[in-house]
Amino acid sequence: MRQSSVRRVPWGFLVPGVLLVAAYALWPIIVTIYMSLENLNIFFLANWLHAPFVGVGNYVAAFEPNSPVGSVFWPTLENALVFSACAIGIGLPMGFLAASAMNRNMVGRAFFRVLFIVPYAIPVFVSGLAWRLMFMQQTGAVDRVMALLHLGNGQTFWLIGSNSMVALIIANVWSSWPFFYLFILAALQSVPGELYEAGRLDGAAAWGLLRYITLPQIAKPVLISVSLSFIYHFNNFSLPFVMFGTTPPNQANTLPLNIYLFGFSNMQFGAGAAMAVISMAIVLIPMILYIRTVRVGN
Amino acid sequence: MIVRNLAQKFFWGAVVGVFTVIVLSPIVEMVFISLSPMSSIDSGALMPVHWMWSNYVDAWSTVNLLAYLLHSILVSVVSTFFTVAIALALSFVLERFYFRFRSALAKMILFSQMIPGIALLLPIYLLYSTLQNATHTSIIGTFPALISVYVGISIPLATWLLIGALSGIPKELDEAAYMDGANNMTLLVKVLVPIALPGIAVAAIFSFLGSWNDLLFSSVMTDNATRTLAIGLEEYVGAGNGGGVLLWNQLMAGAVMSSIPAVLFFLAAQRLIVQGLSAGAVRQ
Repeated sequence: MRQSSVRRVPWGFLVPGVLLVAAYALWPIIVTIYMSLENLNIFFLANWLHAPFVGVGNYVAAFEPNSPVGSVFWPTLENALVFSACAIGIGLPMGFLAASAMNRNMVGRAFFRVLFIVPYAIPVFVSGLAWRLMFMQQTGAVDRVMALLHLGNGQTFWLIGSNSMVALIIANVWSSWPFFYLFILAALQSVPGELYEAGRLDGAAAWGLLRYITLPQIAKPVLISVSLSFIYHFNNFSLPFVMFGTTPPNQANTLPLNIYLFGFSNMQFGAGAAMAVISMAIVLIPMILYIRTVRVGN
Repeated sequence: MIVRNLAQKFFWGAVVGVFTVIVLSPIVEMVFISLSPMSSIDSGALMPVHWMWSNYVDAWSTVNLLAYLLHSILVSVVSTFFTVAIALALSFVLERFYFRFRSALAKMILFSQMIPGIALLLPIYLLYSTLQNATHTSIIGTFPALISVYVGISIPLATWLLIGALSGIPKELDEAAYMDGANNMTLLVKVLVPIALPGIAVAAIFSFLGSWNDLLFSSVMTDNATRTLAIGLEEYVGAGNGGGVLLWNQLMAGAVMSSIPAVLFFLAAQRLIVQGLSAGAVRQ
């Protein structure tokens, strides 16, 4: 038994932190839910407590594909899901490959190990700007290099229209794949070497070692990294905002940016809040998966 | 066997080569642009026509870099200090004492660190503007308002990391300290903090980067007098697209300089970073 269990709890240490978490996380959530039940537009912002109550009206509008809210909600939800799926679907294999390479003995390993983290360490507000410039039509580096390689005509519009999602995904994968690399490298290094020796003695080939030793051993960290990555990307506001500003092309407008614009450009806080609550509900799934995997509280 | 080893070496060498090209080419391009005259950017030359080092000097006035940098440093350092101090006290109680609802409180804190930032921005903005109208003082756009938001939203992750750090320290040390007449404050500051320093460093780094890289809150809760780097650079692009002259070369020079603190922090602590990531550093 822990002796400290009989000591008096120093509530003074607890109070500031709990008050701040309540003020900046829990209370705002309650207010968001309340806002989402109101017809809260520019006319009622100053007196938001008494805006017209519409019940689930904002939610109905969001789910109705032909309403002004729904016609933006569904495409931007889809964009956010595609964006997240590509971040994981491309980033995870990249991270696995790079981590496997760095888990071997090779010349200059210490250097490359650090180099591969750099894209993730560069703030998104910097790398996003760089990609925005590189994706400029004709004069940007992407079009120039493609013209040099005779791919396309070097006149592609990347930042408007249907290519904008491709540009967003490329920029995002570049800056976020090291997240998986870091996770998987740490996981690979914690696999006991004896397992591989035993596997080799049993005559397993490289594929067998991967299939029966490496993958099961790193499954848990991979699951954790995938759920965290989904939460991060599904909520990602910064990169689309840096690359497209407050007038994103429809094809690259993701849900968080859409909610932001609904609030601060259209001043429709009620509809924005309803979509924020829906996105919170979606994020709950990977959140629970994560909390179960790390077994919180035990 | 030798052939197979060679083939393997070649394969993994090629993997490293491809990744190096992927990682480096945008960075090289960024540096090239920051050293180019505008004429070579507009004409689409792959290399700078001539190297223009003056961009790194001129950016400070063109992009208003010095003011933004000072604002970012002030906001990030102050919010990191308060976040770590408050989270340390909170995690000490949560990790070292038993009381009702302890586990529920810990879970609630973990949950609150994953709330989408946008779901917090709308109500916090509304609450601040209400407070502003009620008290007839300006709140939105001031440093205390921005810093308090960063402290509030960074505490959950920091607390979670610090609980992890404290749980690795044997409870016998507490008993020994209490025997020597220490109170909770002395125990925490004199005994536990020195041992938990790596964990405290992780919590501090993530709080700092959270404030330094934030665009969501800074885009709404800063004005000309308080603009931070992240939103300041974005603002410069917006102003340029709105009809002004957009000096991409100086902007990139400013961008390169403003990413240096974050990159150095990150690389210096790269072994600790994974801890922070697996504790759920996901907020935008």
